[in-house]
Order: sequence, then structure tokens, then C-alpha cells
Amino acid sequence: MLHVCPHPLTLFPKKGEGELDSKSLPRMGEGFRVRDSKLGCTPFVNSDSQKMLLSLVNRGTIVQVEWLSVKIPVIKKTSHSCCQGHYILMVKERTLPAIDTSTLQISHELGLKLYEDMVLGRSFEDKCAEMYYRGRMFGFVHLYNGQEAVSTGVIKGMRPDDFVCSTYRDHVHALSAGVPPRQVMAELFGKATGCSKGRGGSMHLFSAEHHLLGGYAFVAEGIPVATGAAFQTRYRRDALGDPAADQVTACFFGDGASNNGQFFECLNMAVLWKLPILFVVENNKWAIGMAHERATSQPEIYRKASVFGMPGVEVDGMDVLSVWSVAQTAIARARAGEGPTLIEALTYRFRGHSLADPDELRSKSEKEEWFSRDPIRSLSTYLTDNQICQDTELKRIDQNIKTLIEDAVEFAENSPEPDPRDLYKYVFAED
Amino acid sequence: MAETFLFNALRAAIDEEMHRDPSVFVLGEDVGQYGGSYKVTKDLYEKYGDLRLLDTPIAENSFTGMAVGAAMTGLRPIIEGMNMGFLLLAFNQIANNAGMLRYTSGGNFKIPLVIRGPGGVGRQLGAEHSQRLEAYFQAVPGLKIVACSTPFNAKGLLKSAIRDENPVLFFEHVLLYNLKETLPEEEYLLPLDKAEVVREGNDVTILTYSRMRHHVLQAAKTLTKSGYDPEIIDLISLKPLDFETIGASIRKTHRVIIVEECMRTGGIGAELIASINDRLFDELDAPVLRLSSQDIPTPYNGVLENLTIVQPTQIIEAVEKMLTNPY
Ligand SMILES: Cc1ncc(C[n+]2csc(CCOP(=O)(O)OP(=O)(O)O)c2C)c(N)n1
Ligand SMILES: [Mg+2]
Repeated sequence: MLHVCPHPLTLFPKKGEGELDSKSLPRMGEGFRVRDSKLGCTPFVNSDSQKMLLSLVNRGTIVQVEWLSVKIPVIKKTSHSCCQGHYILMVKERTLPAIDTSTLQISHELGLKLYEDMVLGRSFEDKCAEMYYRGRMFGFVHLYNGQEAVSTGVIKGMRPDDFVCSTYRDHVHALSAGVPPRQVMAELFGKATGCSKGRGGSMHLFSAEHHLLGGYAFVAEGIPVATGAAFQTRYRRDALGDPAADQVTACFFGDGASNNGQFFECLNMAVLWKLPILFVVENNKWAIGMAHERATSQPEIYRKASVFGMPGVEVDGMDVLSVWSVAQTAIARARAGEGPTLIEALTYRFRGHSLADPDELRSKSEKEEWFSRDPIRSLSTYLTDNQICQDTELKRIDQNIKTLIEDAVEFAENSPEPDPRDLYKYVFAED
Repeated sequence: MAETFLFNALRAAIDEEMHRDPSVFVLGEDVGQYGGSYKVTKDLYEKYGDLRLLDTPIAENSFTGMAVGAAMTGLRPIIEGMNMGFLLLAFNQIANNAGMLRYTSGGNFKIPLVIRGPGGVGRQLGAEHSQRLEAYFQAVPGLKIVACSTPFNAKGLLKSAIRDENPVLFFEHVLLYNLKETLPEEEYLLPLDKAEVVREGNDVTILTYSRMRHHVLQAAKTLTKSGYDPEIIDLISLKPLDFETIGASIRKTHRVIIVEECMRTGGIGAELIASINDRLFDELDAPVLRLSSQDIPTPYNGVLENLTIVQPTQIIEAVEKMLTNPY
């Protein structure tokens, strides 16, 4: 009874051959709302809205279906020759406001800087996967492939004395913040030369020197910490009267974290005390196996800022220039003492949740759609098409990064293990 | 049942209890479509639907509180902590409401709730994912705390925990999910408050639980070859402690070694020693010896991590020392 149209993400019941049943619906999207002028909007209940959708379709009503706006399925009669006249359920990705990049002044230098940072992030992560499978690093290793435009677009527009706070998916934020690849790689190898002295590992990267407040292994727990760092800046400026205290904190976390109370509590406090902070949600659509639209009643996360009176912006997280542009505005605002901004970057992780995740729930077509929007490829095309940078310059960067990463691995390999006599070192401040 | 992995033994327990009692349901992160991070609820979503395998947002304190509310009003929730460490975020609901509410309400409500999931030190998972939490919860009044250690006891204990009328904190160990054992075909339940005598012996009582049971058994192989005869007791119930079984053993051996994975300070062993002194001091021929983890956050580095938890060689040395230098 179910026929899958060769067009990507299209399902339909063949006319006159019985009804669409619940199994025909894409598995990942069991939560959706049906918007219909007569019926209004159904509340978000997985099985209820599914039943309702099915009955409408099977009665021949054509309805607009809002797949909790992350994906937008539309039910309509198809015009494809293969399935003409049948009802189809088409699933589209959420569309994003395009930023007019022609108004952005991307200098040669900036273009190279952004490109270099993104390639560094990507190559570093690819090397991590290799080293993990070779038994050089252990535990849960969460890679950042695909999301580079967010880290680069935000952090490369900040000052070295600004603060960065991350999650367990923290390698690339650390690199963008200036932690040397050698120190990050050595940490992943558990060596004494690592940025957390081999004590932390992949999910606990820290560097006071580079104002990296940390990788935080528990979802959302970094948000209050980042909020505290932003409070510190405000305190220094207004309670201690230090005019130089204008640092900004960027706090990164995922769509899954945005359903945690700590997120809402901190948005409230950040507005209350006008804290210089950017809350950057990297909405990669999934929290391990939980599709974003199944976990939240309002999938457009940026909208959640409005109830706190905070600016909330959505941005194409696969486009570094868009991210850069949005971040620049938010950073300037924070630096000027005007308070926080919530940025929702729509992005995608190109690998499983961690290297231990079988990644069985994300559909092939979804992955392919996002792979085709590789942020590094988009940037290099933009830079060369607009004659901002030469192809040869980009190639040279690729080559340099390769050498840098090989050097990091060699450094990590040859570094010493922590001294067993130091087992209790760092428990207290005096150690 | 044929040879069964520990994770499947737990799955069977949940499946049987959900089948038996429609008020039993599971909630937690990725318990539904994903089937649980350690596959303990694999395919149950297809069988029982999205309300009985409730995939929650990452909101531990709130979904734990929800489970308390559902339990107060007649359901029997099973919370899966994807990692028990994450339930630190739910400490308030576990302590104040799951643990204390029956008392505070003067018996108005009961809270039949199971909170289960993997705890313990894995392989280089880093400090936050390698927690030894049982002792943190030990002081909360009103909670039962159970630690399973084999596929057989995992299944029987979990079924009993689900049927228990109290909140039960049910610890699994992240490194034991792939243990295999042949399980009985017929249904069985195991009591939540009974320790298990794993090996009978006369020289010394070794009290242990969870993964350390297997370290002790490994050490025992060497020890018995050298002529030692330890009695090995798996505590199973970390709260309340089964002093009937513990007492009987100490009256026989007069010597005790505790082997635990939790912190030394304020650990399960600390409570055991205090209680043994209270109840059985005259039976002891030697001070109780305690092998615990180091009082540090679990380090990522493999060498340091191994130094943090008790190794079988340390258990061998401790027994030899206690039995060759009697006080
Ligand atoms: C408090 C807490 N609960 C659960 C987890 C397990 N966990 C790790 S990552 C994750 C999903 C997070 O998704 P999201 O916030 O979208 O970030 P992403 O991994 O997609 O970058 C979960 C549930 C955790 N680490 N901490
Ligand atoms: Mg996500």
C-alpha cells in the first residue's frame, strides 16, 4: 500500500488502494502539528496529531502540515509523472532568512582567516576519528564535522580576552579560541601536556590562558557557568569601576540543551542583569537519537528569547558569513553594555552523535541534503568566485593545516603520561 | 532462556512487568525510538507505544519530578538515567520528593518508582561520566538502593524493584552490560533486601557489590590456589544493608575486608564499618580493612584511572596481609 516516490522525502498512498497508515509516515517525524483553517492547530501530541493527519488525508482533505517547522511537510496532489494524482507528503527543510552577503565587506585577510579556522576544525576532527579507531583516544568522542561555520563565525569575530564556553562537542571551539592543536590532541591522548593535563579528556577541555571556560560533559551545565563569566565582566566594570572590562562571553550549546531549565533560567538572569553574553544554539536537529521536533513544543528556538525581552535571531549555520554577520551585531551589542542575544544557528553534524553512536535514525536523504551544503565548500566557492582569495592560497592553507595536525599527533604521541605520583594533584587550589 | 546479556536480562524484566501491569511505564532520554543508550529498552517502543516508552527532552529534574507525581497518583514509572550521573541534576526531586515525601505527607502518598541506569567507572569516559554516586544518595531517607551485578540478579531484582511500593534507586554498571549467563525459563523474583553469598569460606569475609564483585572473584581464584578460603558477599542492597547475612558471615570469619568502587570518604564502606562496629565489634579479630576508590574526580588518563579504582592485585595483597599478620 505504501509507495515511496523516487523523489527524495516523498511518501504517498496510491489512489484507490486503501489508506495511508501510520507506518507510511517517516519515522523521525512522528510529532507534527496540523494547521487547517477550520480545525486550527492541533496540540503537539505524537499519536494524536498523527491520527488526525491520517484521517484528513484519507478523507481527501488537503491540509498544510507544519512539521513543527523544522521540517515542513506539505500534503498536496503530486504532479510528478511517477505518482501523478496521488496525495504526497513532501518534507522540506526549514527555510532560512538569507543574509545579503554583498553588503558584507569580506577582506582578503578575513576570508583567509575564516577559511583556515574551518579547515583546521574539520581536519582536526577527521584526525580524531582516525586516532580513536587506532586506539589512541578513548571514551565518548563527539566530533564537530559540519558545524564549523558556527564556531568560526562567532569566535573568530571575538577578541582573545573574550570568553568561550562549550559542551562535550568542544574540540573545535577550543581550536577557534586559540588553544594550540598540540594541546588539544595531547589531551585527547590523555597526556600530561594536554590542555587539561590529561585529567579531563575529550569532554573536559579547559584553557584559562585562552579564556576557554571549558568543555562541559553534562548537557546545559555550561550555560550557567558562561552566564557567571559574563556577570564577572559586568561586575568588574560597574562594581569595581574598571572601564576596560568589556569582555564578551560566547556560550555554545545544542538544540537538546535548549529544552533544559538551565537555559531558560539563564536567559532570564542575563536579561535581568544585562549581561554581555551570546547564547549560541547550534541546532543540528538531533539530540543523540531525539529529533528536535519530537523534543520541543516550539522548534524555532530563537523565538524563545522574545518572552525575556531579548533579541533572538536565526541564522544559516552552514554559512560562515551569515554567522559572522549576526555574531558581529550581537558582540557589539554585548560589548556596549546593551545585554545578551540568543542566536540560533541551523546546522547539521556530519557524523554520528559520538564515535560510539550507530547513527541509525537519521535518514539518508536528510544527511545527503545537508552534506550538499558543506560550509567549507561554500566558503571556498564564495571566496574564489568573488576574487577575494586565490585558489592557490586556499590550497596552501589546506597543506599547512595538514602539517599542523601531523605535528599535533606527533607531539601527543611523544608526550609523557601524567606522573602517577601526581594522582592527587589539582584536587585543591594549593596543589 | 538461553545465554542472556545483562542488558537483555534487564530488558526482559521491563518487558515482563510492562506486560503484566499496564501502569508500568518507562521514561527518559532516548528510551523510545533509540531503544536506550545501552539497548535496555530496545524495540519496546514498537510494542508499547510512545506514552509507555516516553522519550523525554533533556530535563532530568523535571521529568523525575513528573515521575514522582505520576507515582503518587497511581502509575509505576521506571526512569532510565542515560547515565546515572545525569540524575545529579534531579537530586532535588530524588531527595526531597521521591525520598522524603511519603514521610512528610504523613503516609498520605506512596511513591512506587524505579530509577535505574548505568553508574560506575567505565573505560576512560572522563570524570562526569565516571561517577560513583551510590554514596551520595545513601543518606537520603526513604530511598532503597540496589546494585545488580549479574544477568541473573539484574533480572530478578529489577522485577522486584518495579513491584516495590517505594522509590528504588537501581544501579547497573556501565562495564557489566555485556556479561552473559543462562537464565531460568520460568519467572523469578529476587528480594531487594538480601545480600548474596557468592562464595562460602571461613577465613575472611569480603563485602563487595556491583563490578567489584568480579574483581573480588578474580582475586579469589589466585587466593584459593594459595590456600586461602575467603567468604565473598555481594551486598546487593546498599540501603538497607542486610545485616543478617553480613552478621552471620562475620560471626564465622571474624575478619572483614570491604571492596568498593565508591569514594573512600563518606562511602558505602564507611557506613559498613560504622555499622559493623556498632553491632559486631566483639566478633572482630582485626580492624575492618577497606579498599575503596581514591577521593578524586575520575581522571581521563588510563594509568591514573586504573590507580583510582581498586585492582584485583590489591585485593589479593589485602587478604594475604590480613591473614598472615593476624593482630
Ligand atoms: C545532563 C545530561 N543529560 C544527558 C546527557 C546525555 N547526552 C549527551 S549529549 C545529549 C544530546 C544533546 O543534544 P544537543 O544539546 O542537541 O547537542 P548536540 O549533541 O546535538 O551537539 C545527551 C542527551 C548528558 N551528557 N548530560
Ligand atoms: Mg543537537
